Amino acid sequence: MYYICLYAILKYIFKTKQNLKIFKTKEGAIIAKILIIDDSALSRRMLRAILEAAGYSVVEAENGISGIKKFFSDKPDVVLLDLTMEGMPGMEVLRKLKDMDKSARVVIASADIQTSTQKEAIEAGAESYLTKPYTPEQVIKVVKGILEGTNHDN
Amino acid sequence: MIIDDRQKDAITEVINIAFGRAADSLSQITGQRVLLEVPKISILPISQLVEALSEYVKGELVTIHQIFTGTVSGDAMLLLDYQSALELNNLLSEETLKIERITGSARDILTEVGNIILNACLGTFSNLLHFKILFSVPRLQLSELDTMMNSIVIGQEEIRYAMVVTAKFRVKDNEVGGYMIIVLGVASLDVLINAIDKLG
Repeated sequence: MYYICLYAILKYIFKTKQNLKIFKTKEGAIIAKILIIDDSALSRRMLRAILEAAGYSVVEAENGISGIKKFFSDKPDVVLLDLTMEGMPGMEVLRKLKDMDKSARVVIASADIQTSTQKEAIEAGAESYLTKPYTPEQVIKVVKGILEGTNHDN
Repeated sequence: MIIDDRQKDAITEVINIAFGRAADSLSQITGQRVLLEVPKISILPISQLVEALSEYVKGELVTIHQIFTGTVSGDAMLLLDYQSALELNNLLSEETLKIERITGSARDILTEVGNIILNACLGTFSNLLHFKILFSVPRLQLSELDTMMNSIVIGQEEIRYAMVVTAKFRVKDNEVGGYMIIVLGVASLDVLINAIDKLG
């Protein structure tokens, strides 16, 4: 009985730590770090404004290679990733991130609205797919859903 | 190359939906209503393209190109006259001072806007016809019309004839107006017509 209780407590602590569920802002948003990988300064600026207004901290990368480095140095809770970028395309960044860290939580944020591309991204391990232009509500809903474990796009 | 009236009607309808989605995207980005004219479709020898397009645009242009490959390949363009490009940038920039030349940050803003609009258009097109299209990184070009057109020909040597789709748009209450243009080569045109025929 003692071991069962200990196991349950440890499992709870581990899960809580993983999802950062105990730290919330006044508005109820989970305090979490979001990495934006997008070669457009406009897109990064728009996403940063949306995420910071909701209480999240934000890290930016302007290409895939830099994004992968920041993923490991800054340990973000969620990655928002563009697809069409100079250098390494977003789909390749997604596959590399998932290869190196299966628990990486990546949301594609792309202007590509093709259903075939969305399917490919989800099959490659993306948690969700946002098409540009998005509303702040759409972005927050997806990020919040992933952090709280209520997103079921994948 | 000839397409019959039924095929032209079907292509127009698909293009209408695709350009409508693109206009909707522009409206969301600018927060303003976007007025869109009915797209015009023509099939022309490549040598007549400059003449055909000069009917619509004159002087220095800002063009955002999105070259695409896949089931069909070609070049999609957002064409803005210089003043419209400046106005569009000023609508979206966080800078308080209005700019008078297209600078580094303005290039970034306009390229991203072009990326979103052209993807909306081509993506809808692709979804409706069950194509798979791969997009290159969009690029912005500042040039006169004939220089811009030469860059299309050089980039895609298979083009002899091209389907040109033009749709004029205007952001209501602003001096922003422009054209969306898709240029497809002959091989892609055949694929497109086959797919259109399958729609019934």
